Amino acid sequence: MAKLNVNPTRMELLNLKKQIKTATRGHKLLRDKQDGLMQKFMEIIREARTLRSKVEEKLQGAFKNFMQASAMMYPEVLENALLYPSAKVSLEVETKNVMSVRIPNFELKQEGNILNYGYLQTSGELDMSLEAFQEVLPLLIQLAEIERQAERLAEETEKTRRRVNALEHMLLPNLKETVKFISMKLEEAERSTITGTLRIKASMEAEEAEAKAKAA
Amino acid sequence: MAKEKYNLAIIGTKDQILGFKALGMTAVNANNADEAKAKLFELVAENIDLGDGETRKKYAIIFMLEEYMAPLTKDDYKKLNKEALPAVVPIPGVKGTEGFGLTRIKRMVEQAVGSDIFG
Repeated sequence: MAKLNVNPTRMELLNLKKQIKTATRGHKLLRDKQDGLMQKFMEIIREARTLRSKVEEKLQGAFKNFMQASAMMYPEVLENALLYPSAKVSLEVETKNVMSVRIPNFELKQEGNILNYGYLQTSGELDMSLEAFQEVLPLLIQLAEIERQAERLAEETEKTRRRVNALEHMLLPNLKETVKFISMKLEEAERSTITGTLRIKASMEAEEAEAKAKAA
Repeated sequence: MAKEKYNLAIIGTKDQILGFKALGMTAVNANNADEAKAKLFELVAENIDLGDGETRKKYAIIFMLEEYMAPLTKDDYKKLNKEALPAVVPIPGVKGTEGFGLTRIKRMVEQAVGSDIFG
């Protein structure tokens, strides 16, 4: 670990010690956040995996129906039938705050009738396939919600992990090493002053003794 | 804050999005991945003016066929992930799933945990 480039003074030492205190506290807090995020993420991701498999299966069924229906009709007729849908979907969105990550919650609002076309030229299969689509829709919305939550949490978890690691493996060791370096320097300086004074005292005493001997 | 109504959109080939259009979603036609990507960012950028200089996103969820979603790069994802909305969700097309949805979930786990713990 590299020590920081600072002057080995008492002032710096105090500053660094304060920094270590803050960093340790930050590290602890971030680790708690990481644990919280991870727990929530695991919960959501499990749900997402099962839900996705389920949705994909159902959706495929709906698509198959639709394909069959459209195969039985003239493309122009099909397009005309579905040109102006009277059904409306919209979402109400609420954002929730989980560990300082804002994640959306969706609520589906449906209006109008999906079977909004003349029955003469369209097939019964089309009605059925559209109903199948409508059945899948709430699941799709739920999937979107959960995957979005997972996505946001994943990003935040990654960020927090990086921060925790940076603190744990870079900042804190560096700070500690520098503190050690400075305190050693200071002790060294202290010892050096003590020996210096001792030597001066000794030489002064020697001089005094010499002067006394001469006087005698 | 009063609850706002958000729209839904779907991007894909014409024959595959018609069914969703009937449900009332905004259906956007795209014939290849590049076109889909361009349309996607157009939709993401669409805002509704609330007055007082405030805006919000028009779309809350954008569904996209997984074959168009797969070629998106990491940078694209970063751009999409900047804000809480809209959610971009891959859906399997007529051909059935090629597993991209699950791959995406796997990627999320890798991002969060550092390795894929579900195997």
